[in-house]
Amino acid sequence: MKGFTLGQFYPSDSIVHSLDPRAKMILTILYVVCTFLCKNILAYALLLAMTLALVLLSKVPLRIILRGLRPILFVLIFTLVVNVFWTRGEVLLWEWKFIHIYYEGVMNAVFMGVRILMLIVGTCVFLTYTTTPIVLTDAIEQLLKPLKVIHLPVHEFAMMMTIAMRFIPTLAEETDKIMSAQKARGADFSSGGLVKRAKSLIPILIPLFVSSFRRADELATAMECRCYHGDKGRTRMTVLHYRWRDLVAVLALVAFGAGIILLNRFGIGYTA
Amino acid sequence: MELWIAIIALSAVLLAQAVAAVILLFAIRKKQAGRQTPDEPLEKIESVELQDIVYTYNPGTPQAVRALDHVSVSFAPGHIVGIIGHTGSGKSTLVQMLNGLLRPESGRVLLNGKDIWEKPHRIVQVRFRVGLVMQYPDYQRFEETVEKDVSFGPRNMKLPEEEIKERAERALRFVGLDRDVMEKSPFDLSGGQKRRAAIAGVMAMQPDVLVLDEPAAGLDPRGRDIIFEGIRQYRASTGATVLIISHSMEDMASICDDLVVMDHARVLVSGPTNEIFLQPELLAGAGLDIPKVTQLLEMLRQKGVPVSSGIFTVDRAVAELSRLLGRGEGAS
Ligand SMILES: Nc1ncnc2c1ncn2[C@@H]1O[C@H](COP(=O)(O)OP(=O)(O)OP(=O)(O)O)[C@@H](O)[C@H]1O
Ligand SMILES: [Mg+2]
Repeated sequence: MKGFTLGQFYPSDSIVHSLDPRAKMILTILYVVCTFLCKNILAYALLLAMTLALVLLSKVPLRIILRGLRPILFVLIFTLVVNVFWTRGEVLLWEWKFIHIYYEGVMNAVFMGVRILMLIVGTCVFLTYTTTPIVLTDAIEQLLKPLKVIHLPVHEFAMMMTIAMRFIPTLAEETDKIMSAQKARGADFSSGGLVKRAKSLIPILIPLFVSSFRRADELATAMECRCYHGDKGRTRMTVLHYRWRDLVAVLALVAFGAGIILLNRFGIGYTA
Repeated sequence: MELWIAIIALSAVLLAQAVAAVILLFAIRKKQAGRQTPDEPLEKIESVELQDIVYTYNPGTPQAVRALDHVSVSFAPGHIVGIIGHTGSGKSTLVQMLNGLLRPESGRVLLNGKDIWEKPHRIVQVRFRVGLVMQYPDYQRFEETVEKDVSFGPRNMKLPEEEIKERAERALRFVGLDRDVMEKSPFDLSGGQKRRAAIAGVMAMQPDVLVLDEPAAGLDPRGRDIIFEGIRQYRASTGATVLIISHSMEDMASICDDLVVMDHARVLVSGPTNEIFLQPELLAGAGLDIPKVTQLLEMLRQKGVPVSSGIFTVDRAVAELSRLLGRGEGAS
C-alpha cells in the first residue's frame, strides 16, 4: 500500500528520468503515432529496436517491465486468437472442419501483438516507470494551459488529481483499519447472497464516508489557512524548464518515425 | 470557507477513497479463502498461547517489514496482562494474531491448546471469544444510535433480541455510559465517550479474552480512570483474561498483574509486573521507563532515605513516604 503513491515509479538517474515531464508526454504521443505507422516487418523491427533502446536508456530492469505486463497477458492472447482465426486471406496454411488459418491471419496477429506490447512498454516507460504521478499531473496542467482560454478549470482539475494521489494510501490504510475493527466484532463480508453481502458492506461504507467528509473539511480549511486561492498569481516551487536534451529526444523520435515511414516502402514480406 | 475550495477538496478525497476502496476490495477477494459459515460457538477459553509466531507485512516487496519474529508467549488465565514496548515493536500486530485478524506466516495461535487456524471457517467464532478493541476505535461507528452500534457484535452472534439488548446495556454500564447517551447518535459523542462506546461494543460480545489496544491513549486522567475502572469491573464480573497495550507505565503498574515486554518484533521478557519493574536496565534497553514514582523513590534511596523497593504506584508511594515521615517526626 505504501508504494502506491509512487505508482510503479522506479527511481534511477537515467536520461529518461531526467527529461522534462511535458517533453515526456509529447514523446509518448509521438511514440504512439510511431507504433501505428508500422506496416511491414522491417518497420516493426525498427520499432522493437527503438523500444529496447528506450528501456535500456531508462535503466528500468527488464524483469520489472515484464512483471508489469502480466495483467495484460489475457488481452494479448485474446487479440492473437481473434486475429489468427478470424482473418481471411489468400494463402491457406491449415484447415480443419470450420477452422481456417491463413498466412495473413498469423502475420496480422504477430504484428498486432507486437504493437500492443510495444505500446504498453513504451508508454509505461515514459509515463509511469520514470515519472511520478505528481510530476505528471503538473505536466498535464502545464500542457493543457491553453484550454483555460475557453474557461476549462484546468488548474482545479490538476489540483484535485494531485490531492487525490496524495490521499489514496492514507485512505486505503483507513479502510483497512475500519474493516479490521468491524471484523473484530464478527462482521462477515463473504457469506450469504448478493443482498446480504451488499448489506454487510454498510458497516464499512458509512464510517468511510464520514471520515472522507471530515478529511475533506479539514483539508479545505488547511488549504485556506495557507492562503490557497487558485492559480491566479500562484508561483511554483519547482518550475519546469525545457532543456536541450528534451529537444534532442523529440527530434530523435521524429527521426525514428521518418525511418519507419521509409521502411514501410520496402515491400518485403507481408504488409499490413 | 470558500465553496470551491471545499469542492476541490471533497472531490479529491472522494476520488482517492474510491480508488482505495477498489484496491482493497480486490485485496479481500484474494485473501478470503474459506467461507465463514455460522457454526457452534466455541467453549470457554481458559488458555491463550502463541507459539513461535512469524509475521511480515508486505512480504516479497521492497517494503517488507518483519513485525513479529519468532514470538512465543502465553497469558495466565484471568489475569490482566500489560503489553509494553516502544512504538513499532509489534504490539498491535501481536494482538491481531489472537483473534485471527492476521494470519501468521508460521507458528501457531493456541486457544485451549487448539490452533485457531485448524478450521479457518470458524474464525468468526474465535473473534466472538477473543474480543479486540482496535487501536483507533473511533473508526467503527456506523449506526444511528450508540445502543445499536454496541449491539453490532452480539447481533452478529445471532443472539435472541432480548439478550442483545441486555448485553448492550450491561456493556454500556461497565464503561459508565448511561441511558441518555444510549439514544444519541454515535457521531455526537465526545472523544472519551466514543472510546468508551467502542470498548462497550466489544464487551457486549462478552468475550473470554478481552484485548484492548491503547484504550486510554489521548484521554484526560478522568477519562482514563473511567476506562480502567470499567475494565477491572468487566474482569471481576466475568473472570475474563484481559490484555492491555499501553505506553503509560503508571497505568500498567496500577492495573496489570503481568507484563509482556516487546522489543523489535520479539518478546524481550514476560512475567509478573513487580518483577519486571525491578529491572530498569532491561526496560531501558527496550526504550522503556519504569514508573516515575519508582524513579523518584530510587533517587531518594540513593540519597540515603530508607524507602523500600518494589513500589510502582502513586498510592503505595504516598503510603510509604507518610510511613517514613510519620516515623521521622516521631523520632525528632
Ligand atoms: N498495515 C501495515 N502495513 C505495513 N507495515 C505495517 C502495518 N502495520 C504495522 N506495520 C509495521 O509493522 C511494525 C510493527 O507495527 P505495530 O503496529 O505492531 O507496532 P506497535 O508496537 O503497535 O506500535 P505503536 O505503539 O506505535 O502502536 C512497524 O514497523 C510498522 O511500521
Ligand atoms: Mg499499535
